[in-house]
Amino acid sequence: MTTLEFDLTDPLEESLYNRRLALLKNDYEIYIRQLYKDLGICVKDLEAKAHYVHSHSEDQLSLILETQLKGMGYKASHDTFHNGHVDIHVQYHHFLWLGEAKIYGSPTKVFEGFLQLTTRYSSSSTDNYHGGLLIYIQDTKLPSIEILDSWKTFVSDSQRKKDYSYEITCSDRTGRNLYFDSTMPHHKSGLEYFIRHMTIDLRHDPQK
Amino acid sequence: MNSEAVDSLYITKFIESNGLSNEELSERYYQEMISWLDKFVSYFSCTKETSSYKHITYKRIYEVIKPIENAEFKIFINNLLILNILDDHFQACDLYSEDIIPVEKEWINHCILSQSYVNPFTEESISKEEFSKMISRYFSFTDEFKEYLKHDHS
Repeated sequence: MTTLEFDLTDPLEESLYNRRLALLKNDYEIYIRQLYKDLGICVKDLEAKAHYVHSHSEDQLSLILETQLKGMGYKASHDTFHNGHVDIHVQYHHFLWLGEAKIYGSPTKVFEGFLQLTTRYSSSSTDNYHGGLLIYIQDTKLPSIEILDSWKTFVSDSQRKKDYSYEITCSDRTGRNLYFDSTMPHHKSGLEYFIRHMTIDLRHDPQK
Repeated sequence: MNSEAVDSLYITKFIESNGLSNEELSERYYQEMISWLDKFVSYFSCTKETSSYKHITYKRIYEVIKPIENAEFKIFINNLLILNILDDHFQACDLYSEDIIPVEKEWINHCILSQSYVNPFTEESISKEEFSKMISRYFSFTDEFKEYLKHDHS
């Protein structure tokens, strides 16, 4: 049924309102705050479908997220060419957010995604200085929190930072959120580039 | 209604502002958005009624472009605002006295951005649900769109 009134309790109405404000004020941060709320809704929905997607490929999972974001009015695509084929490309008019996704196998595999995002796809322009690293969890017994913490330790390792010539500062995970944020000087401009590192738990292994 | 009588100014604006490629344009989602946009602009280019240009309700827009699902309808209205076809306005209705007062857009923006919702009659903090029940939104045509409608597009 179509709602013929202003309804802020509808997450889509609130999202569209905030995104338009972001455009009017030309404020990328407002856009990003809203995008992360919307992405959170999509992730929750994807996790609720774990029984169906627990063995989907990276591409199939990213396509589901892309489709959900499209339904919210974002211009979202996956495998879009942006200095290479980025996994998730989310655009709203001139605002852009890029996400690189990996099915968790080990921190080393996640690190490949991190390097792709930071050294190939990312930019530090005023309307594209946030990105995301999505870690799909399918086939491991490790708790998500352990995966996230070990990834944080791995990417923050001093020797690794020296070997791959990057700096990064990771903030602590907050509350019950299964993500943490990081900031780093962009490898080209030196301007700050922000990444949200998030786990998406798609395991389905009922014992009965 | 003859949509072919209307030029494609707003369709071009929609495509440009969204940065749509030819491939994206062929997707059903964008084709539908464009057809609703065409329907809307065509309707008001052809109709003789000008009385309601200052107070256009969600229902009025829906009547012009229906059928349309809820999510697409919300996105479509947002597109009309971004394309500078519509401007939005707010009013608050006191649920007890039924008094109605206009509310400044900046004030609404502040409440929504800060997520601190205030009763415009009493200035007390209220929940988002109460705020949403109290505030209504309506639309008017922008000067730009009114100017556009004055021209003969046939």
